[in-house]
Amino acid sequence: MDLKIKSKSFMAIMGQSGSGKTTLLHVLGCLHKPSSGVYKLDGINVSSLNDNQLSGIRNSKIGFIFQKFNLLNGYNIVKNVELPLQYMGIEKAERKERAIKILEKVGLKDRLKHKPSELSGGQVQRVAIARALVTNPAIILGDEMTGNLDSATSIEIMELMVQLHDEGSTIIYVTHSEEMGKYANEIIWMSDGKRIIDHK
Amino acid sequence: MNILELIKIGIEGLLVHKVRSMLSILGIIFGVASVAAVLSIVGGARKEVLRKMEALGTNNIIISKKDWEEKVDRQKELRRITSGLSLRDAEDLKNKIKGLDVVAPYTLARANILINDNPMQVNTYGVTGDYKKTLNFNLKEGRFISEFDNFSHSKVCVIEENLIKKLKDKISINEFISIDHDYYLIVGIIKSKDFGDDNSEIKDLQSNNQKVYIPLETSLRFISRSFLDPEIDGITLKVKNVPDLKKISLEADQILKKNHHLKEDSKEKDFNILIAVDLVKNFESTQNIFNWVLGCSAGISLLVGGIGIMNIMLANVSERKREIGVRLSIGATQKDILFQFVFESAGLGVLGGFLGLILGILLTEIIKMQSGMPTYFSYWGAALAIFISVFDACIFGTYPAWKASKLDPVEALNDD
Repeated sequence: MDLKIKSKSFMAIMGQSGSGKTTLLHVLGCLHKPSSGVYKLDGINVSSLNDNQLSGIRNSKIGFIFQKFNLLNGYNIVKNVELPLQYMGIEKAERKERAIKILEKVGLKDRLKHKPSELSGGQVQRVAIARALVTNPAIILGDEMTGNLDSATSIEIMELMVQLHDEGSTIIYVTHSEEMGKYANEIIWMSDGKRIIDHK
Repeated sequence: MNILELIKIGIEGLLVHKVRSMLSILGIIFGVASVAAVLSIVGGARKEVLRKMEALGTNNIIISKKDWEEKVDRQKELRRITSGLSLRDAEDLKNKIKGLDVVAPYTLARANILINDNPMQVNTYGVTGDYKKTLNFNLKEGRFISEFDNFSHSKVCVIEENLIKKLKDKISINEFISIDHDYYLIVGIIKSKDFGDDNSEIKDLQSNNQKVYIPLETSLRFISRSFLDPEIDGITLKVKNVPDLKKISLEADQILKKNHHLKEDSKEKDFNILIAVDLVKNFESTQNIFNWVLGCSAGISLLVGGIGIMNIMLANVSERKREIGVRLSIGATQKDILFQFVFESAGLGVLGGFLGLILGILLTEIIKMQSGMPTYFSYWGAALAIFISVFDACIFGTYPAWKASKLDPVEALNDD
């Protein structure tokens, strides 16, 4: 597959189950190395990096939003959002300040001391979005990020993504829902691991 | 990420899973408790021996009459040929053995005393003036028994400071106390020293720091009430050179056997000879056994506690795969994950170590109360117990931590 994604893109990757869209997202997010070929992110040839270097890339350049939210239930939401900054080596006070600021931005100002289990699905996904944004990553990757939410909440989340894109974020997300795909500026359709159609 | 942050993450991990953490350290707690208890028993035994050595005096040989409580028939048999230790024996030893500094015969009797109308039973020693040279004590007030006191059968006494402390009463020199209904003038008070518990072969020598000393001749006349070649309870020999202790004790053994009409190679004797070196040898052999017990107990504790921790940590890694996946996906390196779990293990070790130590101290106190065994809990022992626990937890926690660090982030994220 030959794919170039420009900075500040807002792209949806769509396709049926097993089409390879999540695998592509994992390669883009440096969770997997491509089995062949080259993947360059911000000019860095990611394919040649070792596991620790890939961790560094994931930490500084990528923000993930998952379908199952993947927050740590033992921590409150501020601590959850702080985590990537902690691995970045940022001091506690700054971490907290940045986490709170970003949580305020996603509308969770009043829920700072809550744990994920004490929030609604939409709120939890907002926390996940805050965690993805807190490091100012080059790309935000979403994997079926509205898959576990009802339609109204899904619309809320997608509108937030649109707002983030308008503010300059590069967003690539995988979805099997055409409704959700419509929010993107570009859509690539995949089948059997191949890119078949692009929409703009 | 720096070490401090990783330690913090490790501790947070423990706090999030409090119940599991507590259960996982039970093995370590009991292990450390048993190691701590054994260490304090060995420590107590060592301290006891050292105290007794000090009480005996390192260059003293203590000859005491044999306690025949359990072999009355044998005693009767021996009594037909010997009349026990006597002043003549003391004189013989003094004349025949070279290298002796002091020969101090003594009698020992339980006597009823009355101090300021407070009655009590104490060990009363009849001693000569030389007896002071065989013991390591200092006078708080007054003087010790003199040769003149002996010569003149004076009714004077020297008492231990502890005796006064026990009575919680004020008494000083130049006052009278009653010993077996006779009045004795206090001429000296001995500064008390801790000689340890009264539970061994030297119990009748240096026992409980509540002793009363009177002149030997006075004791023979008024307390033992024997006049012709009377039996005494012991003879303390102080040698000039410590290396001669063994040789002189053998010489004394031969002289006394001869005096008591016993065969040279006879093992049945009516006296015991004790030197501090023997005490140390006895202790060393006992300590060897204790060392083995300690080693085995520590080894088993290490293994059981370690396996417990490894087991729980493996379960932890397995149940927290998704968390590991999340951490890896947001930027944790393999090293970060490895250290997070190693520090969690170490945290369990520290916690288990401290709780085990507290339990060990309680256990030690119970043993002490129930058996009367001397115990001594050292800081060194405490540090060792904690170190063992942390070391153990780190060693056994490394494999699960390594396994966690090697997880594939995507597989870990997909774990249900």
